[in-house]
Amino acid sequence: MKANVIVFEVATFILFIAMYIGSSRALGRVRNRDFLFGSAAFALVIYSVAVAGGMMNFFWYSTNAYYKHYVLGGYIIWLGVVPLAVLLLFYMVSMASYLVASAFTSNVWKRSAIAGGIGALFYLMIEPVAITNHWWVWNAKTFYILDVPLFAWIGVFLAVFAFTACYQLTVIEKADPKWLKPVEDRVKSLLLKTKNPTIGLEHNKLAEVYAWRLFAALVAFGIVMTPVLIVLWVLANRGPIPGW
Amino acid sequence: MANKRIELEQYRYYVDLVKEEPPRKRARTGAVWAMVVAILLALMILVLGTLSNGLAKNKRNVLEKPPAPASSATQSGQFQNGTQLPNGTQIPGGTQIPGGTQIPGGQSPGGGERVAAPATEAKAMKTLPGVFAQADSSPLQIQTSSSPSSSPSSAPKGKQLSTETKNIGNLGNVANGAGGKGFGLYLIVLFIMIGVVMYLGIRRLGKEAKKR
Repeated sequence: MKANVIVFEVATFILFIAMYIGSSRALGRVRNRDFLFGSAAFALVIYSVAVAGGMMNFFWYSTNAYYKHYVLGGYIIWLGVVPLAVLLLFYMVSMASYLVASAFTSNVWKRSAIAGGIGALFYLMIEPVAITNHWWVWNAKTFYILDVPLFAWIGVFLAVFAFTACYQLTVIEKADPKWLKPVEDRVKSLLLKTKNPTIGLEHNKLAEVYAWRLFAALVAFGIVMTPVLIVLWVLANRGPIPGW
Repeated sequence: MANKRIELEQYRYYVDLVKEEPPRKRARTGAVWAMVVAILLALMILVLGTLSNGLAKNKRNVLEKPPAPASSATQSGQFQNGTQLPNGTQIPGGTQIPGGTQIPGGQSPGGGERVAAPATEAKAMKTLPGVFAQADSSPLQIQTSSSPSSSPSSAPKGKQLSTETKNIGNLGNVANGAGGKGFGLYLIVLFIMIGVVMYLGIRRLGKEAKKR
């Protein structure tokens, strides 16, 4: 048995089912479903932008001679240009990180930071194995650590941090942070057609607020990551830095 | 009336909470379950990583392109990278190559393992001018985008920029370290770290349960 993409995908699906059952018990069915859809959508947007920007791809197995052995491009289920298994992997990592962080602290930001750190720890293990077996391929002009771009390590921490903070604030605490109020009040009245505080909303409306906040978290993620990408890209293209 | 409405709103919120939030004991069991699954996930990655240790040792593995289509493998007696020779294939000059031997730089379509041909076979290949010339001259296509690379315009004149990652940037260097066990050790250390973090989480939940 080789560590090819099919083995990775099947193992991920099996573990996902086990993780989904466990986290449904831990958070409740509705909240766990929110976590699953939220994390999958969050990761899908980030990965899709990365693929569209030519920074990475998941097509190694779908090219040339491999195509004959791995039908459907190696992975079985795709959502656009991103395989489902990769999104489920992000869900599992962020869920485990979130649950462990929840055991240690109740403060939103501390909890999210711990979750981000644990998520990064997981990806420190996953990424080198993934690129070794070409489950995905990095393709960016930047600095690499263990053949994984430096921004990918930073990005994992920030993605888990931003997502868990958004989830905790919206779905669990149903809070209306003051710093978000000026923007959110307008969005709520224009798009969501409600002026009620988040704590009093029905689940359907809460899901809409959650979607909007996920979008805001994605924008914030983009705003932080873009300068990082640009700086690393500019430095990398000036020539080799000794020791890198 | 307004007060009644507020009261009803609050009541609805508590109903939602009961529906959404599971009992504490059930929630704790679920959290422990999820953490155990997370350890299994790390174990899965460890096992898959151990299986691909040979690949990780190849410094150019991640820069390698997938093999070319089989149909265009041979053209007027030339072999392209990644061509697999059938059992007993004879090469002009009488050299016989065992089945499955790969030309350096390529790989068999069925598996991910990239194993170079034994030294003797490699020698035999080198002695055949023309046939393996391509394999010798450019064994791999290297992504020039890999760090720290540069666009020709930004590169200092007369200085050749590296197309490979170096030192800690290259996974192959880590994998070949510690007597070829570097990659395995790296994964084991991370697995232990994740295991410890998950264990601390489980222990914390257990303590909370005892308190209550």
